[in-house]
Amino acid sequence: MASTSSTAASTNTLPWCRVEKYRPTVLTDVVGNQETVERLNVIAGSGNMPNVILAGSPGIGKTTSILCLAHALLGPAYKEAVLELNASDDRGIDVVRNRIKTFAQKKVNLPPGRHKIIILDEADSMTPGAQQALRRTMEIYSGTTRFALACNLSSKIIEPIQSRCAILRFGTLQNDQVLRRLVEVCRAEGVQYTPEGLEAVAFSADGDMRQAINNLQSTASGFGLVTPDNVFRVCDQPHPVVIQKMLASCCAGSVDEAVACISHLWTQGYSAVDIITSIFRVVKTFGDLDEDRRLQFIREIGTTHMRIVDGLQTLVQLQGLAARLCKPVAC
Amino acid sequence: MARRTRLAVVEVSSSPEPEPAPLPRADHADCDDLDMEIEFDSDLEALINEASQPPPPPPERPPKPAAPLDTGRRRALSDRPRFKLARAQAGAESTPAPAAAPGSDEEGQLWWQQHAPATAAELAVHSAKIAQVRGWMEMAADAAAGRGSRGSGFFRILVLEGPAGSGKSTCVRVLARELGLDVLEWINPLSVRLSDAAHQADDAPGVARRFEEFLLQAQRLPSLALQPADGRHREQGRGKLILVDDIPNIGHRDTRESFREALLRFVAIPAHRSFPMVVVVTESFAAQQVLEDDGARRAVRRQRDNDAWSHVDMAVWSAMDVLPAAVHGSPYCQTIRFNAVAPTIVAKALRRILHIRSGRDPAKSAKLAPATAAAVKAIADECQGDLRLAVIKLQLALAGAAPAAGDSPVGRKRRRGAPAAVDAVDGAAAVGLGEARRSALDMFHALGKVMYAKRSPAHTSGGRGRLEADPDEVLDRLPTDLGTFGLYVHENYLDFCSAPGEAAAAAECMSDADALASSGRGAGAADVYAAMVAVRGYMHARGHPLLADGAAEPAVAVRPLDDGRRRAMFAFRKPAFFENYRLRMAHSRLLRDEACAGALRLDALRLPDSRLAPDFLPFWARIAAGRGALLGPGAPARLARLAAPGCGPDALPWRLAAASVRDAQPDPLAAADPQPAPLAEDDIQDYSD
Repeated sequence: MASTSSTAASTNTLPWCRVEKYRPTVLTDVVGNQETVERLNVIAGSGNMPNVILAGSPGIGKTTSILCLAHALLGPAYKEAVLELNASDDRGIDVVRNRIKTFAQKKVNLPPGRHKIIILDEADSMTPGAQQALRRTMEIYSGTTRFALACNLSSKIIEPIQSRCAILRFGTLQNDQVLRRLVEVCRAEGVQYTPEGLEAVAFSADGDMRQAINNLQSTASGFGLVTPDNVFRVCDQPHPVVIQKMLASCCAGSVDEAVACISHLWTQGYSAVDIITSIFRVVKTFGDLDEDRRLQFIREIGTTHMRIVDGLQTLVQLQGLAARLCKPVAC
Repeated sequence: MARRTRLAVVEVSSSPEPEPAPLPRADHADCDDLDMEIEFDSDLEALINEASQPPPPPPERPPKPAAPLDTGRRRALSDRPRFKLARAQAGAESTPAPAAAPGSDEEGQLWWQQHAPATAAELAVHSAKIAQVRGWMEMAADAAAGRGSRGSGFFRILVLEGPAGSGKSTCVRVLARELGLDVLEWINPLSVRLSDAAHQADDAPGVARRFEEFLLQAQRLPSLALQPADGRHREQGRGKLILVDDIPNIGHRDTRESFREALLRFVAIPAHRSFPMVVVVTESFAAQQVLEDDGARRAVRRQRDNDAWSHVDMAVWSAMDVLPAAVHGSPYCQTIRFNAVAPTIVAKALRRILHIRSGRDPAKSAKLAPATAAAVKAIADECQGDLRLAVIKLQLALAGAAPAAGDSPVGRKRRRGAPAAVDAVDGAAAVGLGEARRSALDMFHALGKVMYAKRSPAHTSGGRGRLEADPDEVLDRLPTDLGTFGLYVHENYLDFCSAPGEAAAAAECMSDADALASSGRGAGAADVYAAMVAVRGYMHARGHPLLADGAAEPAVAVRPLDDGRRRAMFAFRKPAFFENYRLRMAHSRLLRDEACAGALRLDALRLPDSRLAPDFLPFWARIAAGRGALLGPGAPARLARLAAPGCGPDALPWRLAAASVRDAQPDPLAAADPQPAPLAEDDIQDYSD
């Protein structure tokens, strides 16, 4: 599903360049989440950064914001006063004990009132043991060092650390926010696009800015022109128009058409997971559904999705879903 | 560092009273004879059992005053455990330091450290708890100084357990300072040897070994104090307190074992030869892992079981997870549990900080501006009893406000006490706090939007109005994660349902959501589905005309409140899930420890899951009653002790089990029960592997 697009990008002649190239460097350029970013801006102004947890789904600017904040706070001293550890770095308890502590003890000349910053990206993948070790370290070195933890789920961070951090939440990006940014990128890169094409990019990314730009780049370098068809071909996602048609026929109660749509997607070679993910995504934005029907849809799709995840990746599950969705709502 | 020395400044106590140097006594008889006057453990019977039965491990190493340990293996200085010894500063500061802090120092500090309370009166802990801790520390200090009364030899380890941010460590430090005790804190050392792989294997137990060295060195210190030094030094060093806050990585088995052994040895040292130890055990778990563990267990997903188990085993729920049972259950160890701080006390503490910030005397209860007061109250309600988090929120909220008011901290300081400055701070606070509240939905509002599920007036007669709050939008702006929010909704939904039909429909959605969530935890989308189904389902069911069962008035409360109020306004409850989970873990630990001690030999039964034992225990007791040897004479007392810690509904099975054991003992039927054969077979199997 999602990973296909990134592989497409990495085989490109311009590997990753756009994602990094268009990563904002100042806080005011960060897209979306105005309140949270504003708050970070305030911190940048006051200079005194508390320990923070940035929580939110992938690709909505957590890391970007914290990097911007670090730049704003530390300026030229950024290189030596920031330690960034990713999930790909080994982050067992020993790293916390050694690398982090050594860094915290390091002497760096900083303007008064500023602190060294340790950025732990994807902190929710740290083991609880490592988090425990972090707990007291945070406190002891708070005079010189502050921590920024970025994670997808804040509840994967143990309570004592949550208690020591200000939690800043990032909501998902709205489609128009993503679109605006995409247009900027297209203008800067001179990419040919149709408005529908960009909308398709935004849809395929589902609020994930990083993926949106990746998909845009893949489409642009693959086809030169960004149109919906090209986008979905590159991203290898079921075409949402087909799914919309399926849902519409479900609402109308015509089982045959709905099943035909599903079978059509299936014969195109999409996997069950791809199809069900797309269906869910479309339902979320599908216009004229009344409340109880939407509830019923989500419930059925969820059940089917879990079955598929459990290993039943078969056509009959999807067809069964289509059939159940055609049933009139009970109450 | 500066903070620490200030926190632990030793005051020259008002009554210096040079006490006699600790006399080296050869025997420690006062520890061995049982003193019935101790009141810490409520269950005296179990206490006696404990004390008499598993003999406290013999002091393998008789504490020598100066133990020259392996000099051959001496490590680099930075490698060694470091003593955080409070440096005695000349002229004890009697005024609360923060107010007098210089302007430059003030910048770039965290308030919860900077404005940590300096006196017991400022502690945001219930006064009874403070008195308990103080009493313990006094007794223990006396015992360490060799002038304790009878029974004070038992005051060796104090365990403070409780949720994060409830003031445990602060309480210890403040009281130690007031009592004139130096705090020696254990800090997990750096391991510099890690880089070469050859030593990697022995590094982890190394930490625990160093912990032992630390304890030994701590014991050596009294002899140092006897060295001729200037008189003041001797007076100040009249007592020390070992503080273990940074607990070694107990997730690592070897470290855990040797840490526990070190504690066992520590307990065996007589009180007057050593110093009391305070262990601070913070409840620490990650909510998501608990949810996953719970889901995994219910769905019996075998392939994931191992991961989930190891993760949750890492979580610390209570002192039982940290201390060995032989220490925790021994009379040498006392436990005081701290609770989450009540909102009113949080608000008081926040007000104190605001007063200090604005340069007013925190003792006088000056009024805050109404807006500020409201904001403070909001933070206090929001922080769930975590004082530290509340202070962080306050600081964050005010961070932007100070420049907005055009008033630098230094400038404010200069005009201290001037009403204009005070107003500026108050105003700034109000602005900043107001902003903070707008930024995201807080729990109260998010829950309110869902639970009340308000609708705009219906356009047509048959249809229902649109929901005022879009469920997706609410879910996107939550102050917490989806799983936790689902628990909140589930905890509260029944109060808001007005007809059985509604409740049934909502409950069906909840159960669907639960099934979704627990079947696919970790699959990513599962939580989203679950939250959507639960929230949408509830909002849909609430007040649905078709579900009202034809009741003329839709608002017939399913659960009428005691005072007849009808769901007009009532407080949302926190989900009981975590508390229950904590209890369950505590019970199963207890049971496992007891079983390991051989008292019940539950292992021999090969229970599928020891957590099922409460259901199982009564029968087991009946069967085993005929085989008195298995249970042993102390069994009823043990079971009573098992029943003691929980007072929630969860404890009931335990009490039943305990009661049934008592009943079963003289039961002739059970005695004649020809059951032992298969059990004995199991026994053999058990010992063979």
